[in-house]
Formats: sequence, structure tokens, C-alpha cells
Amino acid sequence: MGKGTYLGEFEQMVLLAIVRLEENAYGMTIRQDIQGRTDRSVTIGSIYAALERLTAKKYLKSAVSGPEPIRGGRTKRTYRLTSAGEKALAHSRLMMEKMAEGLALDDLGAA
Amino acid sequence: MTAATNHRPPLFFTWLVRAVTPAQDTDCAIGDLHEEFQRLLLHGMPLSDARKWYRHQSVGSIGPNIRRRLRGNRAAPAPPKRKLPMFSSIAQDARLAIRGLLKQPTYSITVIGLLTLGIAGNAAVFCVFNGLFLRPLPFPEPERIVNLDETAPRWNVDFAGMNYVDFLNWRENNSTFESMAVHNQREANLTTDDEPVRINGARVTHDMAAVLGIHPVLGRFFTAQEDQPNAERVAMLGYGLWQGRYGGDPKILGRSITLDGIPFTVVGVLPHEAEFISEAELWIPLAQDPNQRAGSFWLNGIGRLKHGVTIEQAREDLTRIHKNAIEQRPMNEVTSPVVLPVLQRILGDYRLGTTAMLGAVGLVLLIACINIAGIMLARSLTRGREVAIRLALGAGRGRVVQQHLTESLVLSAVGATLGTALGLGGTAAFRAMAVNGLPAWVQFGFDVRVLGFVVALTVGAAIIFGMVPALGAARSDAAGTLQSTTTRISTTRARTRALDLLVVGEITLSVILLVAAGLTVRDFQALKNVDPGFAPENVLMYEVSLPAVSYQDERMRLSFFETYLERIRALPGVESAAGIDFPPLQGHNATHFEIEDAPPEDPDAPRPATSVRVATSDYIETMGITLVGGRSFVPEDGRDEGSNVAIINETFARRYWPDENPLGKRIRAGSHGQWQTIIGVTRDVKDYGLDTETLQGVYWPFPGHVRSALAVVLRTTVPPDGLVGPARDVLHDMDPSLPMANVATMATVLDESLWVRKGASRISAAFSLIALLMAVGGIYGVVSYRVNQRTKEIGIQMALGAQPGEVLGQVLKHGALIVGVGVVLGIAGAYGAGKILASVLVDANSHDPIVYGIVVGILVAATVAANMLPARRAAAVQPAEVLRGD
Repeated sequence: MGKGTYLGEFEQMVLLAIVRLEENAYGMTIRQDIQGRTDRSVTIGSIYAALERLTAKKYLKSAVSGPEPIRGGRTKRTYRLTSAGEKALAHSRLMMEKMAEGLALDDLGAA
Repeated sequence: MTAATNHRPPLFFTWLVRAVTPAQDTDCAIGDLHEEFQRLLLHGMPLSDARKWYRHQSVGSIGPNIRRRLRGNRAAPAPPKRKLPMFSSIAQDARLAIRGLLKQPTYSITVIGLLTLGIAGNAAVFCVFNGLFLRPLPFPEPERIVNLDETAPRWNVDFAGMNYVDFLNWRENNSTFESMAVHNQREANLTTDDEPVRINGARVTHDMAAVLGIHPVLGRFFTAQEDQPNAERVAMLGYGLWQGRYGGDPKILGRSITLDGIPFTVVGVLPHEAEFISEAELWIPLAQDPNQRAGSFWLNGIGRLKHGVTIEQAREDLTRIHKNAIEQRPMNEVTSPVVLPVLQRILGDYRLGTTAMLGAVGLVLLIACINIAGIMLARSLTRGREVAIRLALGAGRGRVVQQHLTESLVLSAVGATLGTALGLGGTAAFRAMAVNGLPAWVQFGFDVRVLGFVVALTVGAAIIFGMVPALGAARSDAAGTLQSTTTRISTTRARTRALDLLVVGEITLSVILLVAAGLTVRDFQALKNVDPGFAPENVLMYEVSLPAVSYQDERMRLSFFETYLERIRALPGVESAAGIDFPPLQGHNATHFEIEDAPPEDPDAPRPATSVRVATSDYIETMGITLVGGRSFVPEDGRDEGSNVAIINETFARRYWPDENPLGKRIRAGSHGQWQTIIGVTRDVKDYGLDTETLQGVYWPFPGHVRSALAVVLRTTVPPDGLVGPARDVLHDMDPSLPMANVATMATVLDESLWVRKGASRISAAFSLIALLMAVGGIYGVVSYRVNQRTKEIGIQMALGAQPGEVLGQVLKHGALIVGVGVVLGIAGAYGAGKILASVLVDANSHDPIVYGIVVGILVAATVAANMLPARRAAAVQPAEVLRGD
């Protein structure tokens, strides 16, 4: 994996949310999952921006399902990781762990 | 599946999300928001909170989406070698524009033609302006070269000329000049083996080359020793003279040439630029004895400032030196040093005229731009569909503006190229118009400043004429335009109003230009009708100069000229002949006169100088000058003390004897010497040009004040040109070494003295005519366009019973309103500009009602004609056909 293909923090969150949501990963649920876990305000626009980037990097594939009444008759696009996406996510996590190895991060007040 | 509530999310914010989200995600994103909104409500969130959440989400999505659009699909595999998007789109636009313009040759040629005309005038005038004022002189660090002179306000002389003693004082004691020199123009008869020629020469101090910073192309410049009285006689040749007369022979150094019968040794050859000094082609040392002409102001001064010294500092320095010498030289009380940038002194007269001309051509170009903007605007109305389709297909408005401006720029560039070529041709015409020829150092060619000017014009013009239609196009409502033609009428109304405003502007500018041109032409006509004080028709004039070596004493010179004039008078076709040292329009000598028995004058009172001319008998009659009292010179005048007489002009008489008869009164030059009895009073002669005041003047009889050179004046009964040959034969017969110089008819001399004004009146007339044509074309175009647009409306009106006459009246009324507003604004503008013009014009009333009347008449006639054609077309509309047509 060459340089420049690393994943940003937000991209990692999106990928992790999709993994967790399994079959039910789409814009709203991803947004709710991230907002719920990180307690930070996330807009639907930023979710779709990240989804587009990750799809362009071929880390995600998506499928469109038919309109539902609760969505005002609009379609829904669900997302899944590709194998490249799984590798990239694993790689990024590994890199971060390696960087953090042996450091007493608690002292930094990150928690 | 969960059922939805009956509540709907805020409509505006849904629209907002739709507006910012890229198309492929719009549906899903809105769906997601909608779903979550519903779920929040189902979970019991109050409606207002849910709506607040929704607003927050949609507004918060703007940022990420904009970043996302800006980033584009950068993350996607990049296509190979992408150019910068901006430039590639400009290149694409340019290609598109060129293709489009080629498809509409009439439109393109019209626009390019207008631009070519507009830019040609500007390029030509700017080349002249640049050549005269901006292009540096062909010397090293020319900004340090200054003109030196003396001024004497109390003598009513702005530039007295420099005194040699003052020059020596300044040169010796100054601390601000690197070097300074004086020179004096002097014509001379140059004799080599063949026919003698009269050439322009100059006497110069030896520092001249140092001041200019030039080096001889051959040999050397003068030494300080050679600049002493009675030193060895040496000369330097100009490059042109060396090439033309001596074939560029390098062996010229050391050779002897004869000037006015005196041999000089050639020590060097100077480059072309040296002609800057007195327009001379030959130089000899001034070698002035400071004890001679000690009270005369007769030299031209030039100096090179030290590094970093300002003109003001130099003037202060010289003034201090000059005034310190008052004790030894009381004259310095009256005179003061003048230090001016060298070009300002030489070209001061032209600066105002050239700047005014630059303003005029600027207006012409502005009119051309307005015209083009009008054409483009009219075209953009018909082109609205194309733009609307592009907008509907998602083209950004900025992109539409850019495309329009690119097209304008392409047109402008073509027009500028053609216009510049035409303009450079125009400068040749300007050069040809300068009758006495322009100095060699004035070049009107193309250079980097002209290039910069033209590029600025091109871009400026493109923005001026392209911006209005471009913005109009971008603002157009895509949906409206694409719908039926009926809705279009309302969307185009704003732009038709813009068209009307453009035409108003065009008429305003045309009125200003026409009035300015009218005033200039009328001023010139008035000037031509000014009585010169002499009768220029059938008068031939040329100069004869007797070299001092072969005509050593006054008796020889007097006898030569008397015999010569006697023989000339005997020629068939000669009515009378006479001689004068300074004929009208050809310079003068000036001095101060004392009046016998006059009360002593206040020493601080103004003391204007008096011009002095020496004339032979018959001169007053031959030149056709009117005597208002007394008699003219007879051959006996001036031969002895008893006949020491003078003739004065009316200005002189008015000043000293306003209520008395001056005949019999006595005057004398300076404060010593012989009293001279006034025997005659002449009408004033416009000695310095028709647009200049006459000085108080005195004529002396030739026998008492013999000169070595005279202008011979012949009044003929046949066309004067025919007498050049016979007169030369007589001269050659008396002394074959004497050339006839500056042969001209007096009528030509008078005519040529007006060349600047004549040129200005012709040029401004031409410019304003172009402006008028453009304005009329513009009005015609706009009115025609309006009629075309309204054909259907007119058809309906006529179907409903309107008479052709009413329709005609309607169209004309609108045209008249536009013209009326334009004319009123134009007159106001011209009235303001008249104040500026008044400073250039001699005596024409700058608010001359006749000029204003004629201009308004011309404009109204021309614009009525331009309105009439489309109006008649409107009146001829066949309602049935029009209404079927749609």
C-alpha cells in the first residue's frame, strides 16, 4: 500500500460504522452511529462526502433499494466494505497502533 | 416498514439540501434526512425540535458539499495530463468563439471594423505622443539633461536667450551641474568644389558633447583651446552631411572646408543624435570673446545635472550665483535663470494639443465600444436561447460570462492588430503634415510602450463592450427563455432599456466630439481670416548671405544689395523688390528704445522689448504693409546723420503717443547713440504668427544699418514661382559663389505657419465624423432591432385598428426621446469641455452658439434619418402575416 492511500480519521469512523451496521449501513444509520458513539455533531452532507471519497477509492460498494414511505418515497443506498476497504481499514488501524506502542497516552488527557 | 407521520420537514431546507448536494446523492440524502426526521417525531421529539434538527442538518451540509464539489473527483484515477481547468476552458472558449465568429461574417466584420477604426486612431495618436513625450532622448541618462535660459518678466520676455557672461559665471560657480554648454544656430554657405549650399550649422562651446554624452563616430570633439577667440578654425560634420556630401570618406579628417568663404579644418564627425543641437549638420566652436555682445541674450543653453540633483535645486543654485553678481552686472536684477526639462522647452507647444487629441480618439474608441456593446446586446437577445440551453444543461453563470468575454477578447485582439497597423500608417501621414520636417530624434515607431498601450486598450475595450452583454446573458432566466415567445417579451425589456441607454451615451459623446471639432475648425477658419498685416499673394522670398571674407566692409555689402535689387526690379514680371533682415514669421532682433523728452520711467515698471527690423526702400510697399501715417523708406534714408530715420508700428505708437501724432518724434536704441526721427507708422504685422500678439516694432533703413544677409522679397505680376530661375541667374551673374536659400512664396510661409492648427482641425473633424457615423449606425441598429422585436405587438395593434401613421409616430417618438436626452447631455458635457478647449483655441468663442446649433442640427437630421427607415418598416407591417407567423 503506497503513500497517500491512508485513511483519515473520519473515513476510518465511517468504515468502522459500516462494518458494525452490517446489512443496515446507509446514510442515516451511519450518521447516527458515529454521532452516538463520538458525541460529536455529524451532518448528513459530511457523511455523503466521505462515502463518495471512499467509493472513489474503491473501498466501498453500494446498492440502491426501492422507495419507502418513511423516506418520503425516496430511494436508499446501502454500503458495504470491499476487500480493499477491509485491508485499508486494517492497515490504518495497525499503523496507528504501531505509532502508539509503548506510549502512555492516558497522560495526554485524550480520554 | 415504519409508517410516516403527517409532518413534513421544512420545505426550504429540503430545497437547500437539494441545491448543494451532488445530483447522484440528492435523493438518498434527502431520503435519509426525511427518514430520521420522521423517526425523531415517532420517538416523541417535539415538532419544533425536529424541525430545528432538520435545519441544522441541511445548513451544516452546505460546507462539506461545497468542499466536495471543489475537490471534484480528485480521488478518482486521474486522466493523463490534465491542464489547469481555467486555461483549458479559455482555450476551448476561444476555439468556440472563433468558430462562431466565422459563421457570422457580417457581425464579425462589423465589430472588427468598428474596433479597427477606434484603435487605429488611438494607436496613431499614442505613437505621436510617445515619440514626442515618452520615448527617452537618444542620450545616456536623458532625464539629467536640462534646458538653460534666462527670463526677464519686466521686459515682457519669457525666454530671453542666454548671455555669454552669465553662462561663464554659472559654469564656473555652480555645484549642481556635471557640465553645461551654450550653442547658437547659424546658417552658412558651405563651398566645396561644386555649387555652394546653404546649410544649418551651429556654434557650440566645447563642452557640448559632454552634456549630451555623445561620442564622435570619427575623430574628436573640440578642445577648450579651440573654444577661445582667434583660435585655430576647426569644424565637426554631422553624420548625414558627411555621408551625403563627402560619401562617408574617412579621410575627411584634416581636410579643409569653406564656410562663408573662411576655411575650417574638419576634426571629427558626430552621430545623427547630435542634430538635436540647433538641428544643425555642422558645428564650429563658439570661441566667443566675453567682452563682445556682453549685454546680449542670444545663446541656447543646455546642461547635465549631477546625479540626484533636482531641477529645483539646480535653479536655486544658479539663481544664487546669478543674483550674487548683480553688483558687477546690474542687468541680473531683471534677469533670472530658467532651468527646464529639455523636452518641455522644445515641445511645450505640442503637449496640450497632443493630449487633447488623445482625449478625442479615446472618446471615438469609447463610442465604438458602446456601439459594439449595443450590437452584442441586440444579438444576445436573439442568442438568448443558446445561453438558456447552456444554463439549463448546468453551465455555471461565471462560465457563461467567461465565454462571452473570451469572444469579446478575440474580436478585440483582431481589431487591435489591424488598428495598430493602420495607426502606424497614420503616423507617417502626421510626419508628412509637419511641413518643416520633424527632427531626426523624434521617432513615432512601435515600441514596448505602444505595445503596452495597445494591449491595455484591447483588454479595456473587450471588457467595456463585452461586460454588459455578458452579464446580461448570465442573468437571463433559462426557464423563461425556453418557454414560449410571449414570456420572453418581459424578460427582454430590461435589456432593451440597456440598449437605449447605450445609444444615449453614444449620442452624448458624439455631441461632445462634434462640438469640440466644430470649435477647432471654426477657430482655424477665424485664424485664416486674421489680417496678417501684409499681402502674401504674389510675393516670392529667398535669402542671400554675403560671406565676410569677400564682402568685408559695409559699403561693399550695401552696394551689392542695391545693385542686385536694381537688377531684379528690371526683370519682367517683377512689380517691386526689396530686402529685409527678418521677414514676417521668421524671427526678430529685439532691444529697448528711449524716447526723446519722455519723463523718466519707474525703474520697476514693465519695460517690454521692441522688435527691430532693417528694411530697404520699397519694402513696406513690396510686402503690402499698410502705412497709416507718414511715408515709407526712400533710397536716401539712413545715408547720413540728417536722414537718420525710423518707421514704427501702431503698437509702438499707441504705447508712447496714445493721443499724439508720433511723426517727427525722436527715438534711439539703448541710451546712447543717434536719435532717429519717426517718419512713418505702419499697421501691425503678425510677425510671429496669426495667433500671436505683435510686439511694438521699429524699422530701420538698410543704408544706415547694413546687414550681411537679407531676405529678398519680390512682388510679382506673374505667378511668383516663375521668377526663381531669373532671380538666381542674376545672383549667379553677380557672384557665382552665392547660393539662394529658403526659397518660398510668402503665401506658403503663412500657410505653413498654421500647420499645427490646420492639422488639428482636420484630424478632429475626421474623428468627429467617424464618431457621428458610428452613433448614427448605432441608433439605426437599435431602433431597427426594437421594431423587429415588436413586430408582433405592432401587428396586434394594427389588427385592432391602429393606423400606420400612429405606429410611425410611436417609433419616431421613442427615437426622438433617446436623441433628445443624448443631445441635452452632450451639450452639457461639451459646455464643460469647452472650458478646457478654450485654453487651446485662440479666439473662437468656446461656447459659440453657431457651432452648437450646427452640431445639434446635424445630429438631429442624421438621427431622424436613422430612425425613419425602421419606423417606416414598422408602419408597413402586415398584421395578418405577422399573427399567422407564430
